[in-house]
Amino acid sequence: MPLPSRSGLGLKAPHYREILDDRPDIGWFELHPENYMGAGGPPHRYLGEIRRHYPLSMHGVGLSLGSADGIDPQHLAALAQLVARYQPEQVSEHLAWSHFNGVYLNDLLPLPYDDESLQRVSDNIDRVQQALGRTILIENPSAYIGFRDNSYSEPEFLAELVQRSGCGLLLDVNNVYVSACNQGFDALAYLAAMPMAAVAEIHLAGHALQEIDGTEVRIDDHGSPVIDPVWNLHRQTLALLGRPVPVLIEWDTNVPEFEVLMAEASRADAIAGELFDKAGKFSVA
Amino acid sequence: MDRDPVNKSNVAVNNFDLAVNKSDLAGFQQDFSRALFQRDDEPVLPLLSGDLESLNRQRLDIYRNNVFHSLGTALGDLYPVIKRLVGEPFFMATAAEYIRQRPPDRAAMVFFGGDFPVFLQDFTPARDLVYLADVARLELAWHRAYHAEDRDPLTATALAAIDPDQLAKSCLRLHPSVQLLSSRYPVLKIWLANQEGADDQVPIDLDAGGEAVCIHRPVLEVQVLKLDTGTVELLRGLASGLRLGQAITEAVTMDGDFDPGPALGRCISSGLFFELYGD
Repeated sequence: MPLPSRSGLGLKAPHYREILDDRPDIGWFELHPENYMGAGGPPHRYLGEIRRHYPLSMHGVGLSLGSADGIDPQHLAALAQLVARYQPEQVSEHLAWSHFNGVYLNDLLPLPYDDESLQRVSDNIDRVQQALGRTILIENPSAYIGFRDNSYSEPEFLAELVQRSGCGLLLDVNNVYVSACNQGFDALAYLAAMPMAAVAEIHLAGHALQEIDGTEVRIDDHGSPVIDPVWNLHRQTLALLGRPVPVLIEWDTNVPEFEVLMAEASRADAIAGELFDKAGKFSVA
Repeated sequence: MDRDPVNKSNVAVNNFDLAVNKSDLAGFQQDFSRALFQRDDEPVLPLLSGDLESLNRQRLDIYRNNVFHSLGTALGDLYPVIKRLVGEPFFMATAAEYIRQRPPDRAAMVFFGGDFPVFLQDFTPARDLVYLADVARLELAWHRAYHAEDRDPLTATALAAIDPDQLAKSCLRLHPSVQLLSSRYPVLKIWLANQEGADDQVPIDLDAGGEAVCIHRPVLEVQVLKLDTGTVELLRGLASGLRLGQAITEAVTMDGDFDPGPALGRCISSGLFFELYGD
């Protein structure tokens, strides 16, 4: 079963009880599998109960698909165990790297887009998909730097990955906006170049604005409401997609009251409701 | 207290300097790792687009900050009392040094920070806070109990059904969440005084004698018990595989005042045991 094509929310520990007590009307929950890699305890207890009532998406942050030294077999085994235990509707990861030579850096670091990276990421995705026995979605990263000698644009690189590995895509609209601002590319041209048929989920989040030497840099901190330009870009993304998809509101730092997240999710559902009819077809010409 | 027999600090730093037969991607990731951990941006800068080198240096700072801030925050979540005792700025500076010397080797943060107490013990700037490493051990024990394997504790009813002679000849496996800790300092008093909402103005006499603590999680809530010397001996004896009768004898030898009946009853009702074995 795929995730329902409506809004979902990131699952946060402070909201466990409220979710179970109130059973809010939300399409699904997304969680970081890394937060459930302990043997037992409250995280597993609550996740098990929430799983009984809601579809789940496991959104990894630690597989490091771009690592030159490959996937950490211990981490992959732990992920496979969680996937087998909770049977999430969807599994996704980032186009990024986070470990080198056994040191884990706990951040989604940028990759040069060249043939060697393409081969490496594609091999790593194959390995993960084989271990999990399913295809995964790959998310476009947010980036603060770009590389001089890239042979592929990000959409071209992602399209190649889709073709080689059969993976799907998770399109983070906030990341497109953040990277477009930081690196000076046109977000709409980026979207036009994306292999939209492979997109199976959208992420929306807030970001922070920082000024460095008089230049604005946008920081993808998931710590505030989605800003209006990102909502607009989201609307344009849905129009390009031509179909509703599951949309996640991500909020990972300064996590607010649950009702604040629900309001963001309702806004995303309202936008989909304006664009598509109940059968998922365009309702406006 | 156990001390880490292996000094990992040199290993970690050298991980970025291994002379491996590198591809371009591996070389880039090695250079980038070194830029983040050792502030050596020079090998990375020529690879970046954009003309302003100063801007790119600061953009690398964003990644550097993400790595140290996110790991420092994760460490602070595990050691909130240590953070409170030394203050946030000192804690984050300590965390940065810890991260440089002993960076995580796994992506799941539940495994990060396990050797922080050992690091603190040898951390010169915190040398005057002699109790700090033991308080950190208590927080680590809490963390481990919280994430331990879920098992139903052995009940008093189940144990009551066993013939006493038989019981004395049996071994008792501790519940997988049980963490035992003995310190020469009043670690539990310090820990309790630094919980949210606690009265932290009560003076604590560091020379008033040590404390032994058992931390475990029978079901959902982590429990913290102060133990007398005899009970610690009893539990350590059982954990090392002694039969109950032997473990009691050892405990009485160590602690003349030890009354095994009530002590064992308290351990059972607290849910410290998991199964009976080896008669």
